[in-house]
Amino acid sequence: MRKLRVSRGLAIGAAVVATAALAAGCGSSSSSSDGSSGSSGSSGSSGSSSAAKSTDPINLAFLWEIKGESSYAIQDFQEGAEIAVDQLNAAGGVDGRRVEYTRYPASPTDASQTLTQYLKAMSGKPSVTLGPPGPIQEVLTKQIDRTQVVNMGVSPDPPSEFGQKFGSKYRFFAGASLATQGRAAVWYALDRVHARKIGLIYSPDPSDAGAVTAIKAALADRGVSLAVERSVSNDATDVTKEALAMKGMDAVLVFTYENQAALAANQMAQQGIDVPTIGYTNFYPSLSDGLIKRDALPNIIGGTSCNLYGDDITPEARAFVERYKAATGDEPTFQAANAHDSVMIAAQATADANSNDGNAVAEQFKTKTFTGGACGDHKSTPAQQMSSKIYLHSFRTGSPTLVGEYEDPAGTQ
Amino acid sequence: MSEFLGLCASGIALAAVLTLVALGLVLLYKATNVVSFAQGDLMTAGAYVAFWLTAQEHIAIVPAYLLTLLILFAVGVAMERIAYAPLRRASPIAVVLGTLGVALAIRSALGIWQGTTPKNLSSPVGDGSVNIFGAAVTDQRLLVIGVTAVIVLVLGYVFNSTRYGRQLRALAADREAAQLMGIRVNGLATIAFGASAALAALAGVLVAPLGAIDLNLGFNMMITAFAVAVLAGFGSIGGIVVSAILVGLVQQVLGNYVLQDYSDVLPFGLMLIVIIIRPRGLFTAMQGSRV
Repeated sequence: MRKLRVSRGLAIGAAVVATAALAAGCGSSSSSSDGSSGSSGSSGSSGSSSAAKSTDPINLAFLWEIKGESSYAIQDFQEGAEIAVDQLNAAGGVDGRRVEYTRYPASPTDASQTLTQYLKAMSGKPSVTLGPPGPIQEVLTKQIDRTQVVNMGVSPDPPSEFGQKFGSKYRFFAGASLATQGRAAVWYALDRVHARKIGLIYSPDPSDAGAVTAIKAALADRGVSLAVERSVSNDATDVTKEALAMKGMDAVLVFTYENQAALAANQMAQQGIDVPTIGYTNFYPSLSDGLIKRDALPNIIGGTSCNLYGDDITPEARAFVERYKAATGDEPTFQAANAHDSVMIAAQATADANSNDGNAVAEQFKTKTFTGGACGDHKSTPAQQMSSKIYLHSFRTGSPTLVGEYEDPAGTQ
Repeated sequence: MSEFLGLCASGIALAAVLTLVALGLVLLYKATNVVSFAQGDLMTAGAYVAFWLTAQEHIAIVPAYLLTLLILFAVGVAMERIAYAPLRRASPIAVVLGTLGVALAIRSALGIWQGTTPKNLSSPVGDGSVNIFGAAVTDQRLLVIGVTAVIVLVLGYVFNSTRYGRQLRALAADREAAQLMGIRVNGLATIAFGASAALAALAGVLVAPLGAIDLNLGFNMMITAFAVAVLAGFGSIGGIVVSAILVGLVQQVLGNYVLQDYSDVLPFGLMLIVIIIRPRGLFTAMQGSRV
């Protein structure tokens, strides 16, 4: 996973100040602008719960920046989402309803700006909002609960999962959780590699804490404990000591940002530590950005909930890959695929609910299986993640090759 | 034993990069009394410019690296004109905040120019490594150490044996007296800003091939280099080199055996201890005798 490098402390600190400021100022400003308050997009404002099928366009709001708007903008979300909108409309819409969207440049680093953009989005009365990516989504939780407009997270954030500190019953995630990613890595190490001594290199970022906890619990369930664990700061440029600590391991799990994951894999290979090095989505951007040295590639196993690689992929995934390449000239990332599938899920859920009512739309998210996505079928887990499957790929050949599929039992209970 | 040697090599390579960044900080401080918080982002900028020249403009690595140093020298000069010259009579705090503003501007501009995707900068010596008593040391790390050694020798010569160096030392010793002696303080400041930026860029192009280029590449390196400069008492080149080696070894070697998860903090712990015991730094006596 390519994570946004934003200090959680900074984001949350800013969020507290911004939330207080907005809470204080919201009532007066909303009534004086266009007559719509942040809550105006909530239940029944534009949707009707009558039995007659609505023919109104399905209105979505995207909460992310695109390239040029800030130094932290990631273009992939917009490109993946636009492809989905075009695809749905080309097919006549969803149940005959055209899909429309408005993008609001919500900052991944500025909580105040993100809240402002969210409130602007509410004035457009969307049925579902998508984004923002990264830990900044935590600052929207209170607003989401208040407006009762369903939100789809396009990048994982464990604290924002349902049941966690910043979770909301109106928030869902397109991909699998980091905890599922951690359990998939453990499954591969134990059942495929048959490793007895397992090392862990991890990021101290609180977002990764869920994965680390899941890894330790999954190992404990199998009567195994980590032989070595080392944390690597998110801006480390040298991980020699962490790499050397992995000598003698049968497998190493790497749950860090992509730069440090590539660095760890490279430095282990340089030190002759040629054992399976199992990560999650962090290794995919490392590979596409050319950060992994040739000697390290045979060791690497990545894991993602979107299988976009090789010949043996679903027709829907292949179609998405081809559309994406035609539109951008680049290979799609899992982030683009997640945004694509988020649009498809959001549009279908809105059409099936036949209403913009947040509770009705959320009910669709919770109960239905959404098919035809680039990442496969989507069904909500108890943590409101729309996927519980991980595809594991070897990077031996320089491009991801499927070597295992993991279905998280915790996600299907 | 091989692990220990590998860690030592890593620590010395880290020390080499820290030396370059700290030299830039101290050079600027000597010439202008300014501690520049833009040094880290200038380092990042150097890496991005080198990436642009090699990967996007397809210029050969070594000429591209040299061109990068020239470009960053010009950026440093521009920075002096924009962020320092207008504030010359302002309080030191205002000038330091000015450098912080430049740092943020550089970072934002780099992100908008090249995006947030990490970049891979090629090494002029490839991805190979040599085995030293069982420890694999990459060719790039050896290059970092070698280039830094050359730069230290060149700067030592410049400061001790050239007119510019003597003027700079006079300026550092007594700014007003230097001005009365006819030293062109403003001209020296401009050169110091350019040279300092070029040193940061050199650190950037040397360290980037070891990992990846992203917007945070230089900032934390600058903070650690600041600890090096404080340890050295913002003093002599020799003091900076010794302090950098101390910090590199503490972080890489000691950090492997003690407080493994907090090794990044160790240099700052060392800095605090030194500030408490010797507020003027470890090498102030040496500095006093030289100026």
